Amino acid sequence: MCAMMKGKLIQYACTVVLTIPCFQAAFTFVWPSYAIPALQSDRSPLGYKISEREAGLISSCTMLSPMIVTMFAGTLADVFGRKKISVACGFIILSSWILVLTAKSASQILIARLICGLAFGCNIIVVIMYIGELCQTSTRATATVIITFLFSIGALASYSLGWVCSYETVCYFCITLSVIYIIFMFALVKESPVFLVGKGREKEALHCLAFYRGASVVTEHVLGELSYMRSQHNQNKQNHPIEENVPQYETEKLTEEKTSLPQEETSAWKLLFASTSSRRALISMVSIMVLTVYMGMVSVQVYAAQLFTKMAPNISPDLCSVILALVLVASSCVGTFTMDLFKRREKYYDTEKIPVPWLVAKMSQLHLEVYTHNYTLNYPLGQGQIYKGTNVYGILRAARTPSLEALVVSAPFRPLSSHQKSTAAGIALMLAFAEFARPQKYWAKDIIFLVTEHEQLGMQAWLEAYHGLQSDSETFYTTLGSFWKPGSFGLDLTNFFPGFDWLGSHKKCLNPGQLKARSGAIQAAINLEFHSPKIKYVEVKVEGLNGQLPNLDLVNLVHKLCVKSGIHHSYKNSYSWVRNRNKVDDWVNNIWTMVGMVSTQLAGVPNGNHGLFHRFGIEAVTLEGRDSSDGPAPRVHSLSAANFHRLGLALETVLRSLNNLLEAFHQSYFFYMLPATDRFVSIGQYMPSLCLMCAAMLLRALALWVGVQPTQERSSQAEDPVDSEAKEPGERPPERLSESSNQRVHNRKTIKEKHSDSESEIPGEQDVKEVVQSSDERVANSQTQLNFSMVNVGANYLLVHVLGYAAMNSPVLFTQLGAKYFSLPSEVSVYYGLCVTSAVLVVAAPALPRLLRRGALTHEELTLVNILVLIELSTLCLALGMHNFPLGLAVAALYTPVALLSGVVVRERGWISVWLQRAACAVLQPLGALTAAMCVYSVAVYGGAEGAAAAAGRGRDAAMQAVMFAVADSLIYGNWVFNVAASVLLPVWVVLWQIVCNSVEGPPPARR
Amino acid sequence: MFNSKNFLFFIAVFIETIFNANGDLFNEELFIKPLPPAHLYTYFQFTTLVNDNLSSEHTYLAPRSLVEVLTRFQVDELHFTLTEGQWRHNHWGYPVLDAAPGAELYAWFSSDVENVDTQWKKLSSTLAGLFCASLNFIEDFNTITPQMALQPTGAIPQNPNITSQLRYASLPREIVCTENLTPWKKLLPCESSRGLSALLNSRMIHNTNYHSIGVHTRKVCSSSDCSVVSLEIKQTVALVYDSKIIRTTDWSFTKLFGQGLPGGCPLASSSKVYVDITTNDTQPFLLSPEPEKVLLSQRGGSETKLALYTIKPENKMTTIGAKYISKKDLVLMKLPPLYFNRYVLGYGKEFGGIVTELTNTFWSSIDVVVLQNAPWWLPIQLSSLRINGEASSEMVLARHYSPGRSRQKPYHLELLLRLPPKSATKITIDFEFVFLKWQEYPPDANHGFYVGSAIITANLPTARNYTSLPGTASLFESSINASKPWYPAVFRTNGVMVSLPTPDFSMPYNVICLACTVVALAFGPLHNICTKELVLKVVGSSVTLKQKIINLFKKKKE
Repeated sequence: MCAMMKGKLIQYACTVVLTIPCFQAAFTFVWPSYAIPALQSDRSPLGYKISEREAGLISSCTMLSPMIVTMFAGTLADVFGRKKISVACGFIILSSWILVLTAKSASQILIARLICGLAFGCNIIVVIMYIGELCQTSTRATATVIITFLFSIGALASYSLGWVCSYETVCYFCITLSVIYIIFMFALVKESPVFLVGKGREKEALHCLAFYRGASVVTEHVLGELSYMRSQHNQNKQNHPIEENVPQYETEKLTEEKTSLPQEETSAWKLLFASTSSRRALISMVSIMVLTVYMGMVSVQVYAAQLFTKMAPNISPDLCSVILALVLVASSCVGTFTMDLFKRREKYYDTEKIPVPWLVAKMSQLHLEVYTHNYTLNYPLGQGQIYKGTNVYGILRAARTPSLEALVVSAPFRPLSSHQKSTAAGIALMLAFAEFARPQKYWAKDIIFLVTEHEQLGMQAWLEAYHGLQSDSETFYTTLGSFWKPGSFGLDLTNFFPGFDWLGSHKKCLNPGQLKARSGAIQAAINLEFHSPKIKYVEVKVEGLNGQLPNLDLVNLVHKLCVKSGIHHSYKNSYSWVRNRNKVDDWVNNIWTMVGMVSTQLAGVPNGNHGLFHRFGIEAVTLEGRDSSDGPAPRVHSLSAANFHRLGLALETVLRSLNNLLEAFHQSYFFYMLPATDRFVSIGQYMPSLCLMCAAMLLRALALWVGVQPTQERSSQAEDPVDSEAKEPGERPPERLSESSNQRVHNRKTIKEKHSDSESEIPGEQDVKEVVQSSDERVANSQTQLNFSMVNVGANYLLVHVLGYAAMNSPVLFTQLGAKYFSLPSEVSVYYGLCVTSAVLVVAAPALPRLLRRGALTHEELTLVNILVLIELSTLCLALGMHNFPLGLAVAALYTPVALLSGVVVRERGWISVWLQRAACAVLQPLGALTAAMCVYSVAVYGGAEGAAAAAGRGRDAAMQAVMFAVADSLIYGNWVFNVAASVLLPVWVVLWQIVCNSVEGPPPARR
Repeated sequence: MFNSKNFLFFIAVFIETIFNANGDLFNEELFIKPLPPAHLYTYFQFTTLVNDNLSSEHTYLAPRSLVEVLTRFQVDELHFTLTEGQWRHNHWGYPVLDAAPGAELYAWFSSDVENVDTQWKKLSSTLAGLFCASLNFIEDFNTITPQMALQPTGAIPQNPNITSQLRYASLPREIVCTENLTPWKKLLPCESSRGLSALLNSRMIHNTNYHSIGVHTRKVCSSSDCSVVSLEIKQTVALVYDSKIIRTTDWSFTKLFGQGLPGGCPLASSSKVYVDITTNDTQPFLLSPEPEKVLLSQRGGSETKLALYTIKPENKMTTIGAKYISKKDLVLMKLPPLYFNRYVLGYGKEFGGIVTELTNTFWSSIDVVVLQNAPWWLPIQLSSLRINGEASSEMVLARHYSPGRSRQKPYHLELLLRLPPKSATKITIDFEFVFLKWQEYPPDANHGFYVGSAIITANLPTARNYTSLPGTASLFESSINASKPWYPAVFRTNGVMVSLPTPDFSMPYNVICLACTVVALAFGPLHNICTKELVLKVVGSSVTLKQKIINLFKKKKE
């Protein structure tokens, strides 16, 4: 907000500076009005009376030279730059006034005024262009008015100065003004970003733009504007005919034309006449110009004094001219204010905001029930930024149904400055379809037409509001999706630590607001992302939040109906129009398609607005229009472009099919992988791969368990050093506790078995025969043996998991700390906070099990921990795989080898294998692995061009971004990748690390 | 030839009506109201007043089949509607009579009836046959006895126990079709040959946006002290046309009903058509033919202009229509004083909630009774009731809750609320999902389960958007200039649909396949054992190579 105000101030200041020549121009134009009488008087500064002919020439020559120079001004400005030309103009004006001041003859004045006119003619063209380019659209109107305003002020100033001051004073005033102008031009004003973009000097352009927008650093907003400029520039170059249905550009064109009319090349002329809007603008401009000139305004101004002397001899002619100038000023004032009042069409073409009134009007004209929906995001990881957004939705109420079921057609709204492709065509298609669908009587389900703002945020807010998830409920993952009930239990940390803001992590950051009207249960949704009606093919996007997929029936339906409607369609690398003769090519292609799907699902981030529907049990896909410019689709150039008609046809058939659904999608095809548009791999076929990996871990756990057993058995027969060591801690309080509980178990057993009742008796001391006789007793004993260490093991295990849970909740804390004490941006503080946490864990974790106990660690304890961690890891992988197979598979593939390799380290073993284990384990530290992977990737991609170090830095930035996105997604959308990684995967890794880093005494040597 | 026959018929009819001058009275009325911007409401009302002492043996104009049912089951008042679609109160204002989507039936039995539930069951079954509707599905588990929401409109002797004689049931899943309209038309004296009922062409009616047919019977006083009561049978049809679907904003009988009006019913004392031309000021249209009279009705602070046409039996084919002069599309409708919205919260199969939102746009408070009725498989607990998010609210003046019993009784909640002026009130109640027995699932179980509408009874302080008749009146004309201190109205909200946890019904198929495979696999060996002969082998015979190998393994095993 502040930057915006600052930017506006800068823009206005620059405008004022740039319009000084205009002021001077007016000054100079009306100068003859009082100077000619002076020159013709006896006390002429030239020393002689000038003739009538000379006087006439002096008055009119200023008008003469601009006529010539305006033809070239645009070209000059384009070649040398706006700033240079403006400065040059300043110098010319300065010199011309010096010439006037020092004039000793009429011809010198004549020359001065001729070159002065040159400068003005050139400047007026350049300045309008310049101002148009440096101002943002909201200030542009006012800025352009400043030009005319200063022009009239110039006339006023000229008349009044001429009235009260001498001939020389006027000259000195103008010289001073010119100098001031030149100084300011050098000191304040920067080159126009549009010019720089046109010259390809984008870095400078970026700085200039940032300066004019008042941003100290380059913000996303500025970047967006720059990319818009670039696209405009390219468009001009390619001479694309301007779409006539885009109202946003019109006003812009107006200003553009006024300025660049003479400078444009022949093709530009053609362009000018090609579009109706520019033709209209041209005609109105020309007629206004002609009218103004023929009205005689100019001559009245120039000859004001003489005219008034003749007309009103009683009043001072100077006073009359001043009055005339005042009237002009007043009228331009009125112009300024009315201009601001009406705001022109700025609303639609400037702001980033969704054009709510337009959409509402359009939908109401179609006789839909239209509503708007406001939502707020309290960004959890910043310094309390609040984002607001508005969605617009219209409901087509189906006839003869009580609104029990609904379908959704949605399109995200993207502002012009967005990095992504616009979705204007998608919205147009949606509205066109709405117009078609409204009079149909066959609808059995309501259709909701939804335009969302801010991409996925708007969609998430709308869906949450639709399903009544309120903002005062807890975050999605803490409640696991159930909606809040007043009075239900919630963890409130503020009670324990008053005065510290824990709020962020437990309050939902997205306030979905209220919906004014709804329809029934949503059955299915189609999301449209079309940037142009002339697309080549449609990409069907399916991957949703947390890797959830829509029902395969819907996906197949969309693909099949695209074929029916004659639209080419694709999924990842699989294209409907490409048929390979070669089987191997087909195979390879299928594999790449599947890999593409896996990589998209892996992060659990939806690749379109459809992905957010899945959590609510609504089947949804996104149809994205593509042409040859996006993606290396083979043979795409040979395709004929689809048009609105065929797209509409496809959309209608899809929706009619959904309309005819008697039941909600319920067949079990929710888990699949797509190798092609018409093939799938079902869960029964892909799960075994993951299961086998997990089975390996479980088998190892079993093997370890079996390996532990005989030692216990044997230990009951003969005393071992290990045993005695395990017995020793029995005296300590925690042990005692556990012992007593064990004793209770023991008790029961002994009573049942009617064996010895000495409870403190240590199993090892029992008679061998007795043990052999009573197998039950033996089991109990061996359990006792294991349980002795169970408390230590359990405490450590629990502590590690608590640390993981803390890490999961730490980002909000890190953000606050980082912002408060180091004023770092949140991604940096979160990333480094997590890095520090990880480092601390790496160093400190191995010591934890030792700290929690007195005495040395035993082999059994660590083996038990190893068994536990193996079981936990395999459970994690399987559970992940059930929800998001690619993620589960990736975790399993990465961690299974390490989990299988790493075992309890025995002191006597060789150090090579130990250090190998440690290295393998260290590499897989979750955060480290992420950063390393990103670095390796960017070195591989950018390494050659930028050098390895820079590329690695880029990789680190990417990792930082990834962590930040994961955290934000988890807080806003309920993506659980970060939560799982922090609260389960990290503890598992820490436990593994503890195991490989602690060496213990080997197991008892005698092993049968 | 034809004409003379017709004429004879008329003569006969006239004679009959003259002879029964003190007998039954039959009136037919049609009320047409444009609902800007895009809809048109037509409401037919056929009222038969049975002046005689009621006897089921002989009736004049009243349908005997219905009267018989009423006397047999001692029904004092009966309301039965079959509706497709949802009346949108916030866009269309209020209808003359509101109806719940699907089938809705409620009746007061005479105080002589002792076992109301049996009579109710019998009544619904009989009506099911009479109207070809699935009213036989009305059982104890979907019948409730509203305590406050419904009041008898007819002359029923004051009885503190009046609600005990009332039974209410709705079947939201019922689909209304031609087969319901035909028996309904048979109840009219002129059936569909003459009169306004001739317009009820089922092909056109079922193309509308909303249609509702109803039968309402009640007792009305025929003497000033109400010592003599007579029976009033009112048959109604409400239709809402969508100008976008019929593709024109101009309307006429031919466009709406597929044919013109062949003249009034000769048995009717009056046949009148009213057209609400209040919107003519904002959206000017021309009526053709010109109305006979334009009535100005001032009622509760709002003014209504009605164009009146009287249809004579001997009239030729007439078509009343309207042509819009300007095509101003966007008209802002004034919101009615009270409107409501109902929806389901939550997702997934764990638990959910039903929200009823009531909005009072009027500047004074409005008293309403909200009746929520949930089937037994959707348990709503009073403990989870929240009004504007709070467990206890000052708005609640009275409350009645009767918990359901599994497979026996629905859940029933009634609240008497005082809605503050200019406010929106949100009533939330949570429900749980219940597992049904597998035979209890309806066909297309994954379609979802319907929950009936809530009933909202209000005493409106203003007659804005209000078109209903005054309580005691029978005819539409009595609603003209009928100002009252308040205007009672009974509304129905929209129904909702929830999807219960549904088993995979393709599973039996899988099980059958599996079982058959197992049987087939088992059958082979069994068959072998049973059919093949066992032959003893002589020991010591030469051992084949194969046998040797087998022996080798055997030994190893041991």
